[in-house]
Amino acid sequence: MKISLKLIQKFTSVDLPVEALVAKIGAQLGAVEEVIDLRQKHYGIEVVKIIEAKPHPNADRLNVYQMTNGREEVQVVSGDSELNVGDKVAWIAPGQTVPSTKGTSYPVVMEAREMRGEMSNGMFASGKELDINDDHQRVLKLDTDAAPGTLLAEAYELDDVIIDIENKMFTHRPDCFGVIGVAREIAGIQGRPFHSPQWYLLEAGGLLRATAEPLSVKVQNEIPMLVPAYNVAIMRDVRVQPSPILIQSHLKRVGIRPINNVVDITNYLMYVSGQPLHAFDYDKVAALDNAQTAELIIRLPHQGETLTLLDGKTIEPHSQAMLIASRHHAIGLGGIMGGANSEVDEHTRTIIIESAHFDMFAIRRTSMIHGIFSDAATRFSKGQSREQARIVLAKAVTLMGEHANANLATELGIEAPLPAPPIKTNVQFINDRLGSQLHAAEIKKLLTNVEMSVHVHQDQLTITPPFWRTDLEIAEDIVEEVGRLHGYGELPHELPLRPSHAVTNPSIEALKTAISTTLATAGNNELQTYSFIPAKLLEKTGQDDKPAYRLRNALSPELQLIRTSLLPSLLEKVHPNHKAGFDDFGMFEIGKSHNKHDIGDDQLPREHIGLSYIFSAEKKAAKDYHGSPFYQAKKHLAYLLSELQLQNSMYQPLHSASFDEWWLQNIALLFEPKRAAVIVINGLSLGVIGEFRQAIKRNFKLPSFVSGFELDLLMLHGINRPASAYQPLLRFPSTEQDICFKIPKMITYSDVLQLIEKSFVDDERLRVTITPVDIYQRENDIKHKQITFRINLQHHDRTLTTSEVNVLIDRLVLQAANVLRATKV
Amino acid sequence: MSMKDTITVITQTLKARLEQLENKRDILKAPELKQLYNAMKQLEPDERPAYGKAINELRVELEQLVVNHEDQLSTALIEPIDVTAPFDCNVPVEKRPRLLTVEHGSRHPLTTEREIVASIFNRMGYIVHDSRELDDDYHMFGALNFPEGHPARDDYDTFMTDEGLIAPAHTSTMQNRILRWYKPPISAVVIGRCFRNEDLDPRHEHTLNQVEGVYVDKKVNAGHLLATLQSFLEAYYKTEIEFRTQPAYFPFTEPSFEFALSCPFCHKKGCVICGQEGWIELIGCGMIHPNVLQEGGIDPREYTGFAWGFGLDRLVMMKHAIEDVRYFQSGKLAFLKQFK
Repeated sequence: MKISLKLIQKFTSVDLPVEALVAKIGAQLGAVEEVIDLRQKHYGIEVVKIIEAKPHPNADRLNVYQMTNGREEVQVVSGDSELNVGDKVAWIAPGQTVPSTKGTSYPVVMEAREMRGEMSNGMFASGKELDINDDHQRVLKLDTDAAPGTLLAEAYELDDVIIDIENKMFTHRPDCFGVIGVAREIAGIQGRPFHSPQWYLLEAGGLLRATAEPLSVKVQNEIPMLVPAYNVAIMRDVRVQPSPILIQSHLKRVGIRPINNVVDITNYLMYVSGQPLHAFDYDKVAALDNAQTAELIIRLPHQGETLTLLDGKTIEPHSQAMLIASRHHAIGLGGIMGGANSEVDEHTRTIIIESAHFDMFAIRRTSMIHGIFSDAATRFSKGQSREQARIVLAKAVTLMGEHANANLATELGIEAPLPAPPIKTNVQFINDRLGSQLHAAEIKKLLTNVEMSVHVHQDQLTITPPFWRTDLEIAEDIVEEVGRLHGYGELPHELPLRPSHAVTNPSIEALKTAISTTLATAGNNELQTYSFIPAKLLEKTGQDDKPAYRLRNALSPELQLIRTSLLPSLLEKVHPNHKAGFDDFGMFEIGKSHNKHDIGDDQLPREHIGLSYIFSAEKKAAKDYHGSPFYQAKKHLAYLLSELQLQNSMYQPLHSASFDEWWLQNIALLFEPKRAAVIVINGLSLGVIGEFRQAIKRNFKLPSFVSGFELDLLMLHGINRPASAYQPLLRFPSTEQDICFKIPKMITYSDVLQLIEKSFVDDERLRVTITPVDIYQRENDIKHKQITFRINLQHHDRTLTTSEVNVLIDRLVLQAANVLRATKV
Repeated sequence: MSMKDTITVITQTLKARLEQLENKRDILKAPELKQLYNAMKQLEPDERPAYGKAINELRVELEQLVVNHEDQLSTALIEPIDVTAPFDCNVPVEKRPRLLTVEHGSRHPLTTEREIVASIFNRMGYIVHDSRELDDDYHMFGALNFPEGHPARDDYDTFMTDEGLIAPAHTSTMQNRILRWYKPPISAVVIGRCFRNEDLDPRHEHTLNQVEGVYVDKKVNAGHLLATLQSFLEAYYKTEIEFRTQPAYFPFTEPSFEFALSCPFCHKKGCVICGQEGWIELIGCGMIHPNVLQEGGIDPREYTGFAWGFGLDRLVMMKHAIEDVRYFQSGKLAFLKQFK
């Protein structure tokens, strides 16, 4: 909302310097977006009077004028031939800059120069050059009584400052979309009482009598729920012409284009009061129906109906739009924009002025659907007071009479506005919420300054908001007003007191921290990637995109789906990082994924919190790693799980695993079944680890040494973990032996390991530590492999003798032979 | 024979030949393909686009068949491994899988900062929760006193799924849950990812992280709110700060403010980080609207509370003077490895 300080000052006095006022507005009213200082813009430009006019002797299109500024007579050459002796115009003297070019890259500075043999000292300015209206064809003839030599800025209040306050702040303040509303607040924050203009209060109501031959208009409101108030006035004998320059210049400087006196008056009143008005050409409306008298119907659109608006756009109004129509034709999109077919133009003689109240939600919906954000729509969608529609209409009638020669052709009864229902609160309630110690009298003054009516009875306050404050409904609203008008900066502030409970965060938080720290300690890099992915990404991974939630208003196709797993996003980051010069790295992400198959008890999508990991080494770096890359990802996972005290992890080959959960199937799709495993802990399948399928490696330009995993952290979190894996130190020495088994190839490493572990369990006082030393396959015997374990034995109670150990080992070898067909090498 | 028929016939021929070929890739050099391309010149100009498209499609199809075949071949060559083993067969000790060295490792700066912020609020007695990334209209708007169709919703450009679920634009989407989960006195912080429908540039991201605070008890006032935020910021920046407030409008707080702190980097002298202002506008906050308390099952006549929200990303950017917010989600190791 751009406000003109000059206009504000018509309603209240401001004695602060501009900077201080702006700071105060920022602290107590709303954020100031911009301050435009116009005070130097028309510097030095004077009102002058033409005293002689004659054609240029050497040029057809030029004229030579003599003018006076009261001190001297000066000759100016102008292309405008229609200036007459006695006309007043604005003179830009040599050395002065054309106002509209000030602050641009090409400021135009006037000079005295000869034009075809006649001296021209500066120029007479057009409305556009003065930034008063858009007319650049003609010199602006001034409608001022000011004596020649008066500064133009003085004559038309041009030495103004425009303060642009963020609209967002006024979302709940419809009154502040009018200058009167803002002026009232500026008075309030300066601590001084504000008095609305008499015409706005209209306390006693009023009756405007017809001053011309009566003319009827039939108004039929078919949708009173959406349009609770629809008031019109008919005025005849209208003379459409440019508005007084003062009005034009006030509109122009706050960004409203001057059009003609009728339209300008409606816009000016909207700008002053917040109440949008519209003027229709009465005769055009009647002619649409081939009728003598106009008829207005407020209704919903008919099927297939179209309407061409004032801006030239033709729309097919949506089914709930509020239309203003003649008997047979739509003539306006109610509360948003008028129709082109009933526009006021220079031939208009009779007008219908509309001042209505439209439902704010319906206005917003229509405005959004058709993408029309007019000044009227902005104001109506904030919920203007219904009461003020009649009042502003009455003022419009007066101004049309003064500036457009219009006479009222209908009798207009204007009822006094009803105040809003009173709000009861008390001093304590307000002080409790603000932490302040204000007295009833102070509160009363703050509120009455902005024209609330306050009744104080001891501690009790009864506040009656004025009709324009549609936002004030509950006691908390009054708290806000008091705090703001008093100044939040003035409030005492101290920390709240309460019992000091120890807080414990949800334990998943600690798990996430532990994972991130552990993996970073193992030399890996944590990434975060978007939750939104392109459908294309799932094409590259071969995953189904149907179970993914789809954004209907995505910024781009790149951000259309909500990811169903984390690994694809990470896969995309591998190649660019190799290209950027990183030869080998481990990257991980802790994040969320969603899919349509997993719905929680609250009927919302279940949020999968997951961990994704990829290890990748490009050719050169891959030389340091031999064998299947699977084991590199596994090394990091095993480290992580052991740091988390998760002991019982199992790896089930993916090609022999089966599972029903969609999220797990979805992840499994990424992996090469022969080189991947399901991660199982305590019988729970937590995720999948492995090498990626060939197609994925190709699609993501992955090097050959790459592997990764993804697992579900909520499931992991659900597994009981020992608080500590500490083992007491033992007094007796340990003994260590390497043992190598030759086993058939299909026997797995874990088969052997489990057998070894089992073979020692009968003595719980024996501490057994088993470490893999080597896994070996002879080139000439691919049916077998050899695994060497280092077995460390230590007893709680005694030193183990060699023969004791030998008995244990022999027993192990026998069991291995029986169960696994293993032979000791 | 029409051009279309020619293409159909050649397609069948080439597919049949592909079956026989030893080196499948040779099919892409087939003379028939070349002839098809050459024939283009003899066509009328208006026929060329459709024809060109048809032969390109054929080429792409053949290429896909070749690639699929190659994948099958290389997949067939893949030996199954013993997934239960810690390392592969016949791998010498020095080439076995190993952890990377610790100096390579890095944690994401947003993770680290989240923990720092969480830890301060923990010390102040606030429990820390995560937010949701996909929520319903009720939690994002309805429970927060945004009536359906209210213009206040315009200030929150939310992403919405086909089903009408919302990718929340603020962590306040958790506020109603916090109010319902705990009984007053409540002191909780929600830190999580949220989303704004805005175009990307060095200062704007559609994905961001927010820190939301909720405090509810008897006799809580706006002064408590201001002092709490000041106390947090002084602990965070390890320096004294001043603050100032600006009235604001949020439907879920009444009254509402914007909280600005004196720049902790230059102490109000003006610097690059505060844009020479000496002040940094950081936090939207206010007293929780009685309708929001009511909706959270708390009697607003008995209890009052305050809430705030600020951007975590902005804190991190200011702290390290990061020039582009998009780096956070970029996955660039050159960026990430600088944060230990």
